[in-house]
Amino acid sequence: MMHSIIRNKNLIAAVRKIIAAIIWLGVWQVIYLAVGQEILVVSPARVFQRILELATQTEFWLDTFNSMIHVLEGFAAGVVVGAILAPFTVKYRFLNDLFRPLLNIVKATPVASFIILVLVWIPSAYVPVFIAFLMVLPVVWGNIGEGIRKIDRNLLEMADCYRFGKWKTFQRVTLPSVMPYLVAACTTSLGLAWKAGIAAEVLSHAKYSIGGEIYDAKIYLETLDVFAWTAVVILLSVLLEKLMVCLVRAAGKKYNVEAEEKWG
Amino acid sequence: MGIEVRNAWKRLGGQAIFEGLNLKFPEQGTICLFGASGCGKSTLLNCIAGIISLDQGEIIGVSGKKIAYLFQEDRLLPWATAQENISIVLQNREMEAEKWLAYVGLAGEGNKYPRELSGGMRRRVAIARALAYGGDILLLDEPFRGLDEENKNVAANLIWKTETAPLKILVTHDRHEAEQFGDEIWFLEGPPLKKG
Repeated sequence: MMHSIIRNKNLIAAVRKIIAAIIWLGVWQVIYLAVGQEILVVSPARVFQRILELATQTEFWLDTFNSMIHVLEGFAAGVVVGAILAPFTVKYRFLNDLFRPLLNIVKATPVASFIILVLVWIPSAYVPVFIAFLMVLPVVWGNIGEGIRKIDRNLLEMADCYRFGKWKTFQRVTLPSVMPYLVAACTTSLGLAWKAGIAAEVLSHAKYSIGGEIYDAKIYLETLDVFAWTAVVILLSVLLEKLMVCLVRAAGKKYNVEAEEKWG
Repeated sequence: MGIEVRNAWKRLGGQAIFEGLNLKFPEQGTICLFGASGCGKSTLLNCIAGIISLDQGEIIGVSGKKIAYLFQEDRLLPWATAQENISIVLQNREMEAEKWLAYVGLAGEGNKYPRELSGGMRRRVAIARALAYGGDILLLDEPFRGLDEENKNVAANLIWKTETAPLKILVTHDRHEAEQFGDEIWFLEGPPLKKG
């Protein structure tokens, strides 16, 4: 009975999403017909067809793979560095005061400015990775720091009293306390990294990448390809987000991350 | 040998909690520290437990001893089940944790998270954790706070019928509790804390 209610609810939600997608595709088609110039707006059907054509080419998969690698490398580096730095800036006030302005500058500076500056500093091949890293770092750093500050002192005292030791305290108190903050940071920053990484590829004309293809399409006024590659970016963004949700669920089994409603 | 607080000094938030405090606890029995809220009783327990350190002075006889602590609050890990909350102090011996859960009348509730348990049940899990840990000294900081009469009797029965921790130090500001459970009642006043 309960399962059937949940199944029906899921079905209704899926139908609602499909209807919304159909409506927006309809709006797109109407705009296409109203404008009537393929150089400005192309039809959804043509875009879909072009994606299928692209997908048969080896370059498409090479470009997609490279872009994913750029973003994921930057993302992973941002998570690792943020996770390493956060405990120090929480523990040592001086380090916090030292790095806080830097983080605020990174947060406030337009991505395009950073990309152009970084293009001057480092080889263009590394720019997308670095930009993705820059997008992720302040979010992960800030969130983990917040998570550490919010650890229940009573639980730490309990762990101390019952002689958990450093490793067990980290594993059983610190990590589960911080995990929801880390997960929130990862889900938020992955989207940021993806968008900024592709923008960096466009501006740095990165070879064999989605951004590079978008740049070429723009140069040669191939609006259809700009639309097709942009659609690919959106699809991959959704895919990455789903992947992140799966990882969160897997982590949740161990650390009860997903379980705000379960224990929070 | 019992434990001895010798010439203890402690300031917290600019206030003197102990100023040359001297106390000598016996090796066994239940010592009831009775005094008004805020006089420094809980700080004394925290110092004995090693959670906070003294500014000056020493506590003799605690080193190498296992000290279990039943805090005012349950202090259960919210992301761990009742069973995990107990097995964590038992080097993850799950079967033994189940035994302790059954002992406090919570058999079959081991897979529940603290928020899925009532206040009385959570208290019993905290008691089971303290008793399971065992040791030489059991610190009880207002262990019945927030419990109704029935749950209080259940909790008290569990604590005092168990053959664990020869020395129990009970902190309370309830005179009836002090008379009911204490082998010795020490009337304390402060801050700074001193024997009345």
